[in-house]
Amino acid sequence: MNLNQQLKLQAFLDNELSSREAKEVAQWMEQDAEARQLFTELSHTRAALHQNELEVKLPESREFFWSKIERDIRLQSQQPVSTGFSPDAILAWLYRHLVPASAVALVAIFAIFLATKPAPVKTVAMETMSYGEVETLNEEMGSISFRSESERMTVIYLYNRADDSEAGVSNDGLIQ
Amino acid sequence: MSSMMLMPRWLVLCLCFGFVAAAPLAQAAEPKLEVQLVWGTNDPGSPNADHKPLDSVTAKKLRIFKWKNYFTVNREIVSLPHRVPRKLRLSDQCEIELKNLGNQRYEVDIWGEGKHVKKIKEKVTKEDLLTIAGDDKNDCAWFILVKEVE
Repeated sequence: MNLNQQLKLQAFLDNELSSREAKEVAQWMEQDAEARQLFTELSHTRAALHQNELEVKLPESREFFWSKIERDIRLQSQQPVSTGFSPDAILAWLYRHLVPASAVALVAIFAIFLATKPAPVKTVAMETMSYGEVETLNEEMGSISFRSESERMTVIYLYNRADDSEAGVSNDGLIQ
Repeated sequence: MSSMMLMPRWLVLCLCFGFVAAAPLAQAAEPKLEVQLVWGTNDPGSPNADHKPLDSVTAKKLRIFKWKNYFTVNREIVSLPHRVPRKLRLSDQCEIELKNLGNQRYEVDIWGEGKHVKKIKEKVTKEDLLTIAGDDKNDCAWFILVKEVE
């Protein structure tokens, strides 16, 4: 028995054949034991499925269930078409675009802040601040170090400590 | 099997190209320093006629000092490979040794009349001048000016 004959038997069982075809199948089954056996099996299977199928009952009537769906559809169709300028839409747009943009901007500002130091304010005190790394190798020689930010110059002024104790050397004495 | 054979051919090529490309860069990174010994005085002229007036830009920087006139006694330009010291005799009394510490930081050792006096470490650029100075007789002063040049 081929697949078409099997399908024909199934269709006969489901009453999907025309009267002429149904008559032909009935005659064929009378002559063919294998066909009768398959038909019996299919009948049993269908009966078992029908008897054991769980019946699902809606907690509400069919009419009420569909009325709810209909009401929802009607409500959705009645909602005004969004113009893109409603407060909710604006808030959503802000949330979607501005929050990430703000985060990126904050990171960028922080990076720029770390990368650039504020320009030093020129003051008299800064002009005479100690600067430079000086290692004294001769105890007779002292040094005064300072930096002039305006001239971008570091000055290491050396002096003889003996002269310093006799005459007195001060930072003020070097500068005009 | 050697490790070279395990490396992909493109990686070997890239490494070779990198070494070749980096060689001139490393050479170009060797900075040059200009070192000047300068005499500062309130007199209108230098006692030595060979001394030339200091260039106006540098003299302007030294206006923070009390002296009115500055004269160049000696001027040297030296190339400084990284960590290789270079010694310079600027005058009979003054000798310095320069060393490139990297990142535009330099070490300057100073000898005065044969005595090792100071060791100074400072950043020096084309714009940031290092000035080492001291008093001299007749209310004059000497200056050693160090800066990077092209």
